[in-house]
Amino acid sequence: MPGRAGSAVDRCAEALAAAIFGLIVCIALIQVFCRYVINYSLSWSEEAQIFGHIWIVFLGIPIAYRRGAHLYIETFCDKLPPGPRSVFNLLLELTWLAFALSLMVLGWMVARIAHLQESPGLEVPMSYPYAGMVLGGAYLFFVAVRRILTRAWRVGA
Amino acid sequence: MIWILLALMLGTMLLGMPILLAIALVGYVGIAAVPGLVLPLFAQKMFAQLDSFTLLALPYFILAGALMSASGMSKQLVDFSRVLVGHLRAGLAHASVVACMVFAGVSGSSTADASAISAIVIPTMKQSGYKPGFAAALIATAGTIGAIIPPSMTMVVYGSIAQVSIGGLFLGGIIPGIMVGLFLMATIKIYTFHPDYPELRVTHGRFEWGALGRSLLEVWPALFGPVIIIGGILTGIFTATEAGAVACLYALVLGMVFYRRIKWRDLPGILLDSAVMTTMVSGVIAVAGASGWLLGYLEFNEGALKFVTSMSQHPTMVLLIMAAVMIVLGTFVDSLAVLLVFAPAAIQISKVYGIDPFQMGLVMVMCNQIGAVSPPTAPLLFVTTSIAQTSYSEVNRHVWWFMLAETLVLVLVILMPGLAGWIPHYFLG
Repeated sequence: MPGRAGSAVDRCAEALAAAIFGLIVCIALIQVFCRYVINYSLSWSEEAQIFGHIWIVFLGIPIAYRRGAHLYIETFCDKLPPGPRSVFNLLLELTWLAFALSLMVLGWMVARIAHLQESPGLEVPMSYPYAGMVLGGAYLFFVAVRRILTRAWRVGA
Repeated sequence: MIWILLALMLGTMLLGMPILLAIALVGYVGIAAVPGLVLPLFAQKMFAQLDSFTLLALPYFILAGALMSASGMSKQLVDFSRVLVGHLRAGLAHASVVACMVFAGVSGSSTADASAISAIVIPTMKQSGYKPGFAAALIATAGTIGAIIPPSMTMVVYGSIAQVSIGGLFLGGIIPGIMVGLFLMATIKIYTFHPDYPELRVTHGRFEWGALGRSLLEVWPALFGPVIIIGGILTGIFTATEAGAVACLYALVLGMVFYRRIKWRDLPGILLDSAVMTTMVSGVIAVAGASGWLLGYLEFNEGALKFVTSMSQHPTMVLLIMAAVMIVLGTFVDSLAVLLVFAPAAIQISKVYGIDPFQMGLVMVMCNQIGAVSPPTAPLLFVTTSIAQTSYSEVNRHVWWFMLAETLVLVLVILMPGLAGWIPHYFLG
């Protein structure tokens, strides 16, 4: 099993998400400070925060998935007996896997077109924010594959 | 086509598929099935939904809420509320409602409100002989005030989708939010006459100005929060999004300097937890952006409008019908999903019937919150039930009267547009 290397990836993704969050809050405060104290509006700050938020969301989807934090309605599936329950769970993992693939592939396709465009505020290629979707999708794929393998491991043992 | 998609969404959600995945699935299936649409549209629409500065208020208020929960201010607020109303019959119950109202003035989430206050109040209530089901049901309902009194994450979500001023929605929530608190306190008052609740007739001490003064010296930094946030938006010093960032700074100073409960090394964990919570909401909003666009493309909103028009022509009746549909759906399905599906239709309906957008917003938010405390699927009840360590059915038995009180306020907001509209129109024009 990809034990240690896997958990290093997890820590990296978590550190990145937390760091971006801290950064965009600071940018927001600097924005308020600049406008009301030194009377100067920043051209790039809103866009930087929006891009940061997008990155947080797509990095956060796999982190929340790993933690089992995504909201679901438990009334029906928690009452299933163990057998059908594990089939149901496997189907869910496969759906996550498909979702991850779609984020990676579709995100990549759109990013390639958006790369030709420049963002109005930060003046960076529009593929930069889309990169968060691709990276988050890749990490989600990694987490989903690991889950399915762990499940197969347990059934096999 | 629309019906198949909606049935697919409802069905997979009820089976227990995560809300995010269920909504995404509908979007993919729909885009793949409708001729002329290509799948990359999904990625693009998801992105476009998140590409919004207003929506940023969401992560900021989530972080501010996490910092406030860690700062120890909820205990200060409960102590203060007990000095204020603790001498009344069922004083502890009244005090917890007041604490929820004040906490709502700095926190934008009903879950944060319910969990922060119930963690402190419910153990004390149980010691004083309160029935755990009563305590859990009361504080879950009082927690919904967190999403009605500004700031409010639910209003950020609705406002950014429906393109309604978030600041205006915030201001519109002040009167209805206070009313929900007062109606809940009236419900407690009625409970004190019930023969099965003798513990609610016990009184403790009496009101003292001296004690109030001493308590104010302790609690003033916590009470200052609503002044900064609401004051800043009222005077136009900052936007709702910036108010969220300022609230983070305020909560950080409160927790690190005044109450000294947050240490530097706690910050990475708090940031990460907030990032996960952000995803749980923003992620659903992102996929709903794609699926909602698809529903719009398939003329779901026109369909909803036509349905409502066929029922009634009168704005008040229209609002009542919408509220009923949303609450009924919200009892079974996640109420955020219901809000996301109905928001675009709601804004069309409010344009056609000339309904004040702030009144419409408040109705949507209140329906969403009533949905969040109505069994069987009631996230807020899950939170307080686990803190009260009682059975879910016991809590369900008590929640109906509190829900009824909140629904009465909702009906009043529908009947009197001024309750939601007066403050925002007075200050923002």
